Amino acid sequence: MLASSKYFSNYRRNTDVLATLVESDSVVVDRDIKSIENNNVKDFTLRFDNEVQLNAKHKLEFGLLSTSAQVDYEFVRDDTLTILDINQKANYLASYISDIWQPFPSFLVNAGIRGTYYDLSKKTYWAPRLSFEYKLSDRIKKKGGYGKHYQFVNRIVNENVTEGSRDFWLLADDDLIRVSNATHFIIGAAYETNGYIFDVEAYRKNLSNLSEFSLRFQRNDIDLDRLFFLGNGYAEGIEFLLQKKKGKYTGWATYTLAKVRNTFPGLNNGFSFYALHDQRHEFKTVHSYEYEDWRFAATFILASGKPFTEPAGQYAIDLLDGETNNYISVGPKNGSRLPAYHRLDLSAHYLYKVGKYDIDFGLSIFNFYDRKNVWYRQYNFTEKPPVISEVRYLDLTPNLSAAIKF
Amino acid sequence: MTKNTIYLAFCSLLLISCEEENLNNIAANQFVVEAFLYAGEPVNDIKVKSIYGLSEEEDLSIPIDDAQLTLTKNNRQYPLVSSGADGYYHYPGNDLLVETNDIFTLEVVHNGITAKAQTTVPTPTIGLNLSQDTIKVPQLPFSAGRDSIASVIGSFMRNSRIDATWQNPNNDLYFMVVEAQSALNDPIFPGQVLESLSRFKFVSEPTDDTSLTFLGGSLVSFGAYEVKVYHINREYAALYENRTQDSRDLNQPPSNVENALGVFSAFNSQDESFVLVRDTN
Repeated sequence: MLASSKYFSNYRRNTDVLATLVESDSVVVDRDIKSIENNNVKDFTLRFDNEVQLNAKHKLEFGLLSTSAQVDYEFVRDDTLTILDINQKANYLASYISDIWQPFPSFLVNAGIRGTYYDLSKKTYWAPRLSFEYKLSDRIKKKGGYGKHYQFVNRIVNENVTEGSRDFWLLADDDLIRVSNATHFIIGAAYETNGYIFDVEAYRKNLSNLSEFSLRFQRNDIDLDRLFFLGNGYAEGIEFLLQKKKGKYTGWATYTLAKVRNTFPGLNNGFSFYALHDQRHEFKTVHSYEYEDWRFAATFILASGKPFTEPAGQYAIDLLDGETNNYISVGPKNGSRLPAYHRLDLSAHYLYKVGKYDIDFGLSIFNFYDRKNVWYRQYNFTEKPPVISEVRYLDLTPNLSAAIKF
Repeated sequence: MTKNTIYLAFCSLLLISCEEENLNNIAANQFVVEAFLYAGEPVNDIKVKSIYGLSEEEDLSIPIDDAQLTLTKNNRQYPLVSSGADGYYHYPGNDLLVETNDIFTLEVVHNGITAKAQTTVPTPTIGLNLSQDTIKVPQLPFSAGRDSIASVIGSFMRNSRIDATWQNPNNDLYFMVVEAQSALNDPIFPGQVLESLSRFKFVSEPTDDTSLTFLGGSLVSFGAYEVKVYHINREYAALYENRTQDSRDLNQPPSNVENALGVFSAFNSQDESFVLVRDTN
């Protein structure tokens, strides 16, 4: 099988700063502040997967895959200051083998290993995996798993206290960016009847070689060692799923209690902190109802607010020549929380047949009750007092659609 | 659902709900330390204060008088005491000497946070020399008219220039202080109000040069003045190199104080003096 993917992200931010002296109506500051970030990730994969049923109890799966990846990232300030301009290429060759062993009809084990040679680090990474399912009865099964996963194209959190943190992607180079890995432990159980599933799964993921980028600790020069930070973390949680599978009314509801914490020696005074995507609670429910030629659907999401780093206050250092340096101090990393996120989406579709054509007229309303969900907070310290504003996700958005199937 | 499965879910919930919240009490309760030691001088220029709100347009920091401060030198501790309600601390004894190459550690304990900083007393300024040690203020020829007075004043201002020079083979940083040695109660020009100048003190910006100039003509009282040129450390110079903060990144200002904001630095100096006298000729 051949596969190719391309990801790109182009970020541009322009801020005009104009300060005038009211008394004389003269311009004191007139600056155009710009930030430009371009990130392109391309990969091309050739893979070869096989399955061999060795006997009634063993099925062997094995394969090879070769990926060629190219990542470009450019970060420019004010048109003239290039902070990062990185162009990377890497190839990795992976092979895997796993045995799906069913010693009893009620018990299934999948044990395997994957080895990946990565040419940028010139190392081979071995990733063992093991999972099992055990059916206690026709309706109840237990399941569990362990696995190690390596990631060569890494998501780097780009911390920005004033403009909202974003992320970008870079290839691990075994220097600034290490090959990240996660060790997964999963255990769970499911209860399934003819029409319903109840599933519960607890997980723990130990995360190593996470990367973060921040300009907060730079000095007058661009020193990459002061811009990239390396750390570890973990994610753990428990997920509950209740699903109705059959009938005119179908739907599911999930609740996840989760936590993601990171520890970077160079950040947050060395203390652990919540990851940007940490959400303590998330409840999501999707409902669908069919009535003659009508299809109605509703989706509701309620989630805890995500963490962010908040400027904590100002301070002044009085110098001995009588001058004063004024600074903004930053609070605990990701120590504050945005408001909770919730949203209701509704849709109705009418299915109509004209000759041999199926026509689907739809009306959907995203964010039905127009919740002002906050994406991030931004701070403008060029104003006195500073202006604090919220950048929000989409407001109420109606959408009309018509689809013709033939 | 089996008993085992129910037990598993309960344990996971318990595990998550008991986890710690944000442990970074340091960033949540930040305070500012401004601590300066001068070789050969008593320890009394150490200040602790709070940060203040983002929306404030003026410095509303609150002096912190209830912190526990300790200076350590050669493994001996010297506890400091509050000097009053202005956030300053001093060492009350006379057994603490600040000498060249001494390594001092300052520990500040406040609100459960222990901040630490270290500095080394630099070598003194070497080779300080003043271009003149006496500035003579001419009598003003009041009877000769306005032009003559202006001419005499102009000549005096030009001749009152004092160049302070010193050796600086390593391009280190220095700053100069000019301070009256006695009370300023003998005004050059009659009628001048000296009350506000009774503690006259001029402090220059740091320089990596080998000289600074001071105009004696800018003084307003006869008397003796002391010129001190301080040799300074990198942690203090860094405050001048990073006076502004990029408002987009809030890049962390320089600080050698661990677990708090601010600076702890030491200075060493050499001093010379000059006098401002009446020209009786």
